[in-house]
Amino acid sequence: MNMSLSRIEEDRRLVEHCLHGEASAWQRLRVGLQEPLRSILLGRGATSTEAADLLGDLWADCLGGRNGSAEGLLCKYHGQCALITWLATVATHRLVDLKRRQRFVGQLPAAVGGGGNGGGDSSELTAQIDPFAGVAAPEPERAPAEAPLLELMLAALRHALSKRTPEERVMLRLVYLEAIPQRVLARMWSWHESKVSRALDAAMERIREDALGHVRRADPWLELSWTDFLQLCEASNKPLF
Amino acid sequence: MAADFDIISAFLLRFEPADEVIGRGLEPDDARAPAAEIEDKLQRFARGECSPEERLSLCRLLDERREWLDLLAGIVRGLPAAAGGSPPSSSGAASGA
Repeated sequence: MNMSLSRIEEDRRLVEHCLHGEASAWQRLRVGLQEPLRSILLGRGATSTEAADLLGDLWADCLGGRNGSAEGLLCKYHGQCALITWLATVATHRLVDLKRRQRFVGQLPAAVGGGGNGGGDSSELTAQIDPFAGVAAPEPERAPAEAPLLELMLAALRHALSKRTPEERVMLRLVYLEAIPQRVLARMWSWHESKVSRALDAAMERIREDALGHVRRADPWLELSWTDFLQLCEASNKPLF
Repeated sequence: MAADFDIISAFLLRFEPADEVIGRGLEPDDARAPAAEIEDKLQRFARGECSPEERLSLCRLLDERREWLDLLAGIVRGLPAAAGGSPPSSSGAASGA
């Protein structure tokens, strides 16, 4: 988050060179980011195989788009954060999507999956569901969403903010969104300024705890620190999806 | 902490511009001016003249009508003390929360 502008500017130039087909730039990008990205994915809960597969797909998509799209993933880099943060965000979104799909497949009824061990290819399993067989396949509780990590983060923040008191939310908005100085809030609340500061810090701390708690409950395998969460918030932009 | 809230607010507004939690949720057509009585309370709130009970009641209202929070912020900015007033003592008349 405290990435210097020069680093981001360097990343933007590197991406531009890659998009112009400069092999050396592409090599530098891949060699420089492969291991750091692998470490991030492992740290966030990917297995070694999942990390390798995700990164393989990521590199393949960087210059050539998915599903026949001519536009590569790198075209979507917005240059508002470091390239590694952005790529880690893309990879983490894909990791959550992958894990959710695995869980979704695991939740399919044994009569449909046949093997009963929760494994297997989802398309193969789905193909075995015959809508005309007279026995409707039970609906899963929740099919994987298009952008499950995004949904998870939004839900986590909604949950965390909704647990704060109206007074806390008003104070947070006045100070952080309306830029009203804390000493002015101190006058409004007839509190000492230090009490305002403590109240704001405590409210943000509870938001952090509740948001991360929500994430842990939804996806216990996903290891996110608050710094990770904030980086994902900063780096997630609409063209990513 | 300020940066944290800025980041999560920007994220929520980016993906849920009409978000009910963070605010900025109402279209201009929905943004009605508060009744004179409420505006008077906001003025008193801004000046630090509300009791804890009044503050709580107003905060509940502001939580539901986010556009009034903008109004309150505007009132606060317009007060001379917003630019350089001294903080109150912790034993002020309306103290208690």
